[in-house]
Amino acid sequence: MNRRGFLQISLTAAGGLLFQVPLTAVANSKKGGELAGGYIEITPENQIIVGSPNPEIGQGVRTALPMLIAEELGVPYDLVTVRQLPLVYVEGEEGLEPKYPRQGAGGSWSVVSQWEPMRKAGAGARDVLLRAAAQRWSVATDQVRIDGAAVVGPGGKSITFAELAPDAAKLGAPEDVALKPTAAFTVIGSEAKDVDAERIVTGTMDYAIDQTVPEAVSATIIHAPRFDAVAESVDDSAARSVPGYFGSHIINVPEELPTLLLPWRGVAIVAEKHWQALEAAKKVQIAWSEGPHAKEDSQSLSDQAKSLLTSNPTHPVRSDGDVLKAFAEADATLEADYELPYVSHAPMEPQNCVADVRDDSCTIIAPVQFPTSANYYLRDLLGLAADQIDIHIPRTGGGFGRRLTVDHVVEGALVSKQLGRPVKIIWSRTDDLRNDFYRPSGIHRLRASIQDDTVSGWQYHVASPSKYYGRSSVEPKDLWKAEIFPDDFPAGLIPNLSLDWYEVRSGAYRGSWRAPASVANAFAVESFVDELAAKLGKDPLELRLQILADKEELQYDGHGGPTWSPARLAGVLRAAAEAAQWSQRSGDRPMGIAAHFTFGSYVAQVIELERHKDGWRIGTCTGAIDCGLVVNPLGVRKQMEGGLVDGISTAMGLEVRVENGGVVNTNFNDYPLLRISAAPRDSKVVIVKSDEDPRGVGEPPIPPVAPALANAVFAATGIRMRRQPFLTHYPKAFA
Amino acid sequence: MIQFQLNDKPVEADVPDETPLLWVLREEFGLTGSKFGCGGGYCGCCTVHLNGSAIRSCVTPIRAARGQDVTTIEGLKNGDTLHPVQKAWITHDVAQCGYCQAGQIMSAAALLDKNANPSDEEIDQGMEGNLCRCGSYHRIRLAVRTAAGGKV
Repeated sequence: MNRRGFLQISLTAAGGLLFQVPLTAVANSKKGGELAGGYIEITPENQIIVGSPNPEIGQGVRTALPMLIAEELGVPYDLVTVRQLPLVYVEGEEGLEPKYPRQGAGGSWSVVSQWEPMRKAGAGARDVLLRAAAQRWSVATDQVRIDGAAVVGPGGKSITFAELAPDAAKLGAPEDVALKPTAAFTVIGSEAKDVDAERIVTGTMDYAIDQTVPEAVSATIIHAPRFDAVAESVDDSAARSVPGYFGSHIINVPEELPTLLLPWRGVAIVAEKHWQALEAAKKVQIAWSEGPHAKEDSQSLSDQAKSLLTSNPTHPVRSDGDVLKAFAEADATLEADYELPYVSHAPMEPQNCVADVRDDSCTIIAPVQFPTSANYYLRDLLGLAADQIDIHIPRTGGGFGRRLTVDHVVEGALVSKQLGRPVKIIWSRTDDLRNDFYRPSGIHRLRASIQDDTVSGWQYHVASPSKYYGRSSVEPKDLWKAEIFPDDFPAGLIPNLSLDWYEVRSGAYRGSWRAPASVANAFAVESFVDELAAKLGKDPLELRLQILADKEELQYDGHGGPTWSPARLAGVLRAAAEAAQWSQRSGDRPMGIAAHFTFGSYVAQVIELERHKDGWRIGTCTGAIDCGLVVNPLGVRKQMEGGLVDGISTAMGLEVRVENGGVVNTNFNDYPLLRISAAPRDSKVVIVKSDEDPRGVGEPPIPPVAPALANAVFAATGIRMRRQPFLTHYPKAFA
Repeated sequence: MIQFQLNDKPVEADVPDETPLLWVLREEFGLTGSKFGCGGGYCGCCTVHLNGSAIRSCVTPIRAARGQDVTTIEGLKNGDTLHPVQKAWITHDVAQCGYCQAGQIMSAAALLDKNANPSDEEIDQGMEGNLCRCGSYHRIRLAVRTAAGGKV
């Protein structure tokens, strides 16, 4: 075994070849070595198996990441079989550490973070295979090349990768390796369909909810009806007649657990089968404490935000120039408030977890975005070492940020520990909706001053309950950091600008919802730019381009930084406008436009309305994205199409309603995700060509959607929709 | 004991009459392709065919299947040959997370069985009961049109 450099090469027990990350003790680890797989495995049958470390949540990483390896290895993508790499802990320099670094799905970061390491793994493997063949034939390495899963040499002689295994393992990896120039890419940039497509369409794709472990019982959980309430007593006498029913247990939640994992104090209803647990749950009576937030409701949250906005900001964020002077000297000013409710992630696969906690081990099967986070919390909770906890990473039925939090994993482990046996918990849809980490609600107040037909001053006040609520690692003075990004458009582009944040207090738990903060802030800012354009009598596209001024680069201190390019944002605006025939818009073809930069990518959306019956419906939508170099254009298009629908769905119809200190939505009847008949009639995507390093695509498509829709409705009807959800507050806008 | 045809095979289930068909499929027969999404018939993740019609198995008591034909996503293909709807789904790479797709495909197959050449409006009507949280509706429409046209 050779441990030099960035790649470790070894023979598998079966005589195949394994390329993996070079951790010194992989071979000694319980789950190290070939059992855990590697970035590349060549089987004795000459099958090429490529490992994909990051969780697949529908964003397409299990398809995209192996493309990076196949590209540099030099094999066509259809020769490669993809295998999910598990979470494995191995002895590192500072104790146990994950074998595969950066094994997460969040922040639109998977492809970005694996861009170089996975290509280097492929390139290293290619280098070794070429050298092994050259050595065997005693020729120079420039006399050999890879063709399919084999190396060919002078005179057309050929040897398979598998046949080269012993020689390659002896040679070891190079110290370093050159990566292909962009112009030589053949796999990267090609359209790859989802590697799991056939399993999905035949119903054989196993999600966490489809799996179990031997001897597991089934449980549904009834959670507290109000934030931070606790179960005081349980009466299950009526449930005892249900066949298969085992019992109901108030879950023992240790008080020392981080607040982030505490909210769902519930009761586990346990039975042999899940349908028996559901039947029993209908008959269990639970007495709950009132909890500390029983007076909170949606209206009181809105009132609190409004009231805060009339006082001094609790958190000044940024101040450029002299805003007050700009307003005093202005020819005209404009002010508008935008309001958003709490919304839920509502992934189609409800929260669930298989947990098998033993004295010296723990097995978890659950939908997770960061398996390392689950491992981290379980270690403390169960008193186990990192490598005694085995967390499986099945394909996940939607993430959207919900599985960043591992409350369901902790809950499953607690129930298994309490019962002393393996358990499979599945939440009901109602519990899923009522026990989420919601996208913060809030009121966004924007003011602008106009002088000499240009925007001279800009004030942006956000009053919201911070996403960082309940995180002991965040200082109260830093709560604003999750709510408003100081370098977002138009900071740096308008000379006099101030940004301020006000803390709304709420007992509802909050978390990261696809494009956190951006999805709310872009609605306010990009709607307001449209209002300014109307006030100035300008084309909303032209006003944006004027403000952006094609500046090459501005500082960006946050995700997607350290800089951003107004010129690239202008580029996607122009591309979307051209493809949508923006210049042809009219009373019969009303359009709205908006754009936003986040997570390093630039997206513009143009939404066109069309006449339908007596009103309007969403017609052709055109999005343009600049996400740097594109790994899988098909994957990018799908994220653009899906982000568009998510943005419309959420802005049009979704609101988590709070009454008496708890969420009252029950199911998709009163949390009405968009249905197909209301989806855009057509969805066009323009991918702007770029040779910059790849950036995220899971989240950037969504922030410009709601404002583009609101701006389109204004163009069609003159109705300015400043409050989400639109269908609740502006029922006549589409009528 | 409830006897019925499941994917063309006679089966029997020893469960109470009111047990939802979905959980009988998943827990008694290990057919986990039909998904639990809402439990209230709103999302369509659990869609299967009862005598060829698309139904929501999460709100269908098992007694409704007594003596009837039930087809699940696992039974949709013909031997080793994928159903035209399944092929079209792959052609258009419809799935994102994929969780709702079995239900979508079962609804599409039932739609095309009754109406071989649906209009855009009829496609929307036929697929209206199936939610997709990832927003794959654009590709669902493309795939249904392709399957209807026999171009797979």
